[in-house]
Amino acid sequence: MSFIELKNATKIFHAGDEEYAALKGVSLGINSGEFVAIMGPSGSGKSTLLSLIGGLSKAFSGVVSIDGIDLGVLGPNKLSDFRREYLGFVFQSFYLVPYLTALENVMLPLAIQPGLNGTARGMALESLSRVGMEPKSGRLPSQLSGGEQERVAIARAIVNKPPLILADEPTGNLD
Amino acid sequence: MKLITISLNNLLRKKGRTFFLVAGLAIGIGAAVAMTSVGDAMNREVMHALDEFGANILVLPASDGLPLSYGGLTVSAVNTGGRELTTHDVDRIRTIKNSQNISTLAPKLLVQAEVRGTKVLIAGVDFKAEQRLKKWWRVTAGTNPQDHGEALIGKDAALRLQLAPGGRIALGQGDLRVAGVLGNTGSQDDGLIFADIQWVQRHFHKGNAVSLIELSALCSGCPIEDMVAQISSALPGARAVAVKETVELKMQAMHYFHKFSLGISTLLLIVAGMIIFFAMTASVKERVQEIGLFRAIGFRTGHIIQVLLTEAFIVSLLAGIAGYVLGVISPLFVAPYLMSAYNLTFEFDPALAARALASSVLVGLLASVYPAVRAGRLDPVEALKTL
Repeated sequence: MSFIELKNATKIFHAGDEEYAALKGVSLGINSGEFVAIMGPSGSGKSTLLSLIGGLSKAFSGVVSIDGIDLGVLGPNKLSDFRREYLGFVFQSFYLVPYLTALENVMLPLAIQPGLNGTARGMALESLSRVGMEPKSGRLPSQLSGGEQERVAIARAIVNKPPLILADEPTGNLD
Repeated sequence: MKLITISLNNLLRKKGRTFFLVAGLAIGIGAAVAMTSVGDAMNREVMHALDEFGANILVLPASDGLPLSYGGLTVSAVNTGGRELTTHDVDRIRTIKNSQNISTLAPKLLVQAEVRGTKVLIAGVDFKAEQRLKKWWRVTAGTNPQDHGEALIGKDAALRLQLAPGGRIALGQGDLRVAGVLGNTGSQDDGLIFADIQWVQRHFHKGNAVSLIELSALCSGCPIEDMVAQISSALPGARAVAVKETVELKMQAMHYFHKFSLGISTLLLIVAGMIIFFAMTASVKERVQEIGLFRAIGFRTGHIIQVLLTEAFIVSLLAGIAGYVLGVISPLFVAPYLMSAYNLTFEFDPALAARALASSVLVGLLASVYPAVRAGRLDPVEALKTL
């Protein structure tokens, strides 16, 4: 069984009386440790696929399972728990919290992790160091360039060493 | 990093919005505190005034004699040969445990006499005490008695007996000079002749007898029944009764004041709560993407609610403190201008401070529950709108 498994996954969006299938009957398997890039024209369903795998999108048909966990049967809070334990997300628009510093943004996923015993700050600094942003850890997002914000968003995604990282156009602003 | 850091940082980043939110709730709390402070101060002032306005305890001789009425009140053993009170009893009343609650002691000696062929009731009184007790007395002709040998005549008695200031009345073994005539009181006082009690005792050979003692007790801080019991205990041969109508009237007045200030305060708190509700709802709308991000990285519904309610708690706490200070200080400046007719005094009330703080926090949290729960249930995809 693959780490990520989709079987006949279909996601339909409704716009007024019209409906369109962003994904239709998609089946794939991705094993642990694999690095997969999904490419396609805009509107082809790449982001929708990421949202299904990331447990962000509900109301789909088919099966989406991660590490044997069927996401289709999980309630909202269980999906949150799943995302906390399994996922690191890099969004296309970064979504850094504007009133938190770079360090605090990276520490955000750790704020709800039990049992860290004061190690969260060290973990966040290490993560920022890996993307070369430790010197600017005290800055607010508004004080960073687009590329620097992207790097902070990547640091946030990897801070709790998740088994699965999903990145939506992660290199758009990088050098 | 803790969730409270998110709440604090959001409030600190948007200082202007936080200030207006705190100010809005603080004004509501402050107004409610001011209403309560002024209401309490007015209550104390009015109660004090009412406590001195007329008798609320009567001390009568214990007697099986036929009752005679005095001002609509039952008076036993007037001139019927029963045991009378004495001036020593007046002194004994001053020794009871709650003597500090006694505002006025007004002994009376009531005797029947005949003036110009007409039977009249003569009331021997301590004029100072009597006028303190009966603040509604107005001398409309002549002056207040200045001398033991002078009298005040009720309006009806003056008309009936054709007495005017300067006139003389032969009573008992002496005569009295009419010092003044009382204005209409609408009570039995209109038909009485009031003279100095010692003069009446001497000229009617009553020794130190007293028919009844009217007492004005400050009953705000002491149940009237306690004082009645203490007086009864100090004067075994007497009967002390609370004038229920007076007591009930005072309690009613106090009750109305209290209800009024409570009603207005509640209204103000509701308005303040609505301000918080709309502000929090607007804040949630503004932070939809941020909340979507929190959900996307694993925040549960409860975490989101905790962040938002923590913000509401901090704002409410600050507003409660600021509102209490505002509510306590503002009457000190406003009252002298708007309520100069009242001699209001304000006291620090720790219970009011605690209530103000608790009300502020309760209102703030209650008003924020709905927006917080809605935020917690946001669909992360809808919120982020890129996936």
